[in-house]
Amino acid sequence: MEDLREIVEACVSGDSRAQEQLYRRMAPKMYGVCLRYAKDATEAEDNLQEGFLKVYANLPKFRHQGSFEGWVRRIMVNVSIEHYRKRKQLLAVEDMSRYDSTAQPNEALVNLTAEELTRIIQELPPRYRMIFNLYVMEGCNHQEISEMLDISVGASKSGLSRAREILRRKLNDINEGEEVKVTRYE
Amino acid sequence: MNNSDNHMDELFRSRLEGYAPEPPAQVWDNIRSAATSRRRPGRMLYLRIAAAAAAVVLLFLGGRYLLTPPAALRPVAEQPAPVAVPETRSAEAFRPAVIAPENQPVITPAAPVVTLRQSGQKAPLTSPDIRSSAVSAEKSSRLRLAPLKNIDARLETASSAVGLQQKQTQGIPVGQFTATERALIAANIATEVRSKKEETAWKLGLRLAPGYSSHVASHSSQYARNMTYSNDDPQTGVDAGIAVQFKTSKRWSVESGVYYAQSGEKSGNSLRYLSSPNADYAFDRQSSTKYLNTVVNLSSGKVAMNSTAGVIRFSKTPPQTEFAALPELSSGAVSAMLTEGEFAQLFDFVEIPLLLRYRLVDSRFGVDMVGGVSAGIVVGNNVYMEGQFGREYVGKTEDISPLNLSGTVGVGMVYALGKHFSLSVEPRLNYYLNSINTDADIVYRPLRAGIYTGLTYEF
Repeated sequence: MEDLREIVEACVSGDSRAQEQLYRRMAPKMYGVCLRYAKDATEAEDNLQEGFLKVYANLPKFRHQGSFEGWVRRIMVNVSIEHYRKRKQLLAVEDMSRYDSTAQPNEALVNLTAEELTRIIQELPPRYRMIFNLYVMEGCNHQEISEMLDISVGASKSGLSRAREILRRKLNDINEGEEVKVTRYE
Repeated sequence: MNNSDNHMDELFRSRLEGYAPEPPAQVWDNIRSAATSRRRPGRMLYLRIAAAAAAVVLLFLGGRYLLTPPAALRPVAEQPAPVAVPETRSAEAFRPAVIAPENQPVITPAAPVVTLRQSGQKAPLTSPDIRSSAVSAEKSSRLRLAPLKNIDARLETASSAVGLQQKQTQGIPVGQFTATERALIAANIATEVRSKKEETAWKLGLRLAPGYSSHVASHSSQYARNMTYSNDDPQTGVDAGIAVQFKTSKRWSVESGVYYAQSGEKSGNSLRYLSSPNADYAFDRQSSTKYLNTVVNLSSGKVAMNSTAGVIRFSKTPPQTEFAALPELSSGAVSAMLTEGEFAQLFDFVEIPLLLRYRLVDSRFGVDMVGGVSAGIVVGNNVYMEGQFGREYVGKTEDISPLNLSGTVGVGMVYALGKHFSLSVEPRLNYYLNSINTDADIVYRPLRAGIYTGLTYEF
């Protein structure tokens, strides 16, 4: 990782080639992160762009203690949350009972590609999408999620539960060969 | 959490953890251009300040050059000028001072006798051949004026006259000046002392400045998508303050003080919405009443609106407000606010200027050039709704920088009312050099043109 350190230091000194090198190295994984938090690819690209600009701006503060990838990833997640909070999306009132199911996740999940799974996550209502990502992918607890999203701990818990239910339902639909109904929550 | 949840979470985690799709190529292009443009503001700000300072300095220097009489720029003593010598002096008096009375300066022919100096220029003179034949009549008449301009001669004489330490160097014996010359020299000294005293002074002024305020703004496309545009009409207002000037020389002054100023804008019904994707939902075409239609975000009962100056966070809902749900849009907006009236966004500043003034025309009716910078401290940030219920406070604009920098240029016309008081009328243009909104999506720079009018007292 010595070369990564050199790239970072070159970026700090304003070397645009080093910035591109850093981008090429980190962008695919970070794009995957942004895609999970966004409603679609366009929003993910915006967040990726904003996130990298913040990375470049804050590189002088990085002390090379701990994982650089983790640090960049944290910035991407923060940008996504910030975007979500700025827009303050109103959660659509939806009859959630249609997602109520006791069905267990099945083999469909195993067979789905990462791209398809990402798309399913994107179809979650924004708040549930945030909660699911933060809890499952980032390993945050409900207290942390409630502070990040400015919601109660109870809302975080119920949101996670709802997110899982919706995902489970969608996976079952896929397993049963039904066309997945795309429900967009802007 | 049951095993099923754990199982599903783990499956998602394991499948997505290494997911690394290649982002579209244009993302890097956008980042590169955005990174370049973000680096520029600091440099651009520096360049703008430098350019403004250079323009003011050039203007002042140009004015000074044009208004300074050519004679003042020329060396005074271009060639040795003979010293006036009273006719009563005999050639004997200018022999080498082998025997001279104590404390009595004398002229020796071998050394420079007097130097002519004016406007800081020094021109040593060679010793005139004072033993030569008599000076012509034409020369005599010119030489009679020489002592008035000849500061060295004047000062040497003054030293003698006021009993200061007598110069031990060789010079014209004081006693050799005529009575008329001594009177002229004394008058010159008095004038010089008085004029030097008058060159520096403190001044205190009160100013009122009716004027217009406007702005220069730009926004990211993402922000502008849901933005309510302000109308482009400049807003009127009155600035007021106290000015303190220190006159450092005859023409230059430094000015500071404290001013209160207000900038703002109004947002009303915008016809742009007729062509917006929200028009069908937000604009009441059938209504006879004009409604302000604004796309807003609602969350936890709070309303936020994108305006030209920044995101307005409402602390209360304006009276008679209706909210209309918008369909799912790619813009992400969810509601439209329908309210009769106009939004007025007002920013109050306390400004502390540091200005340079140059007196272009120095007479009873004077003309000044003014230029400099001001620190603008935001002391008020209010949004009002103006409608049939009058004006009502509804919230504030987010991300407003508390401390800002503006540049000022102006031309002042000053009329002296007496020895101490003067009346000034000074059109000034004030432009904020930084965006007062710190949000990266918004550039908003207030612009004000005012006529600073007031009384000044010179101590």
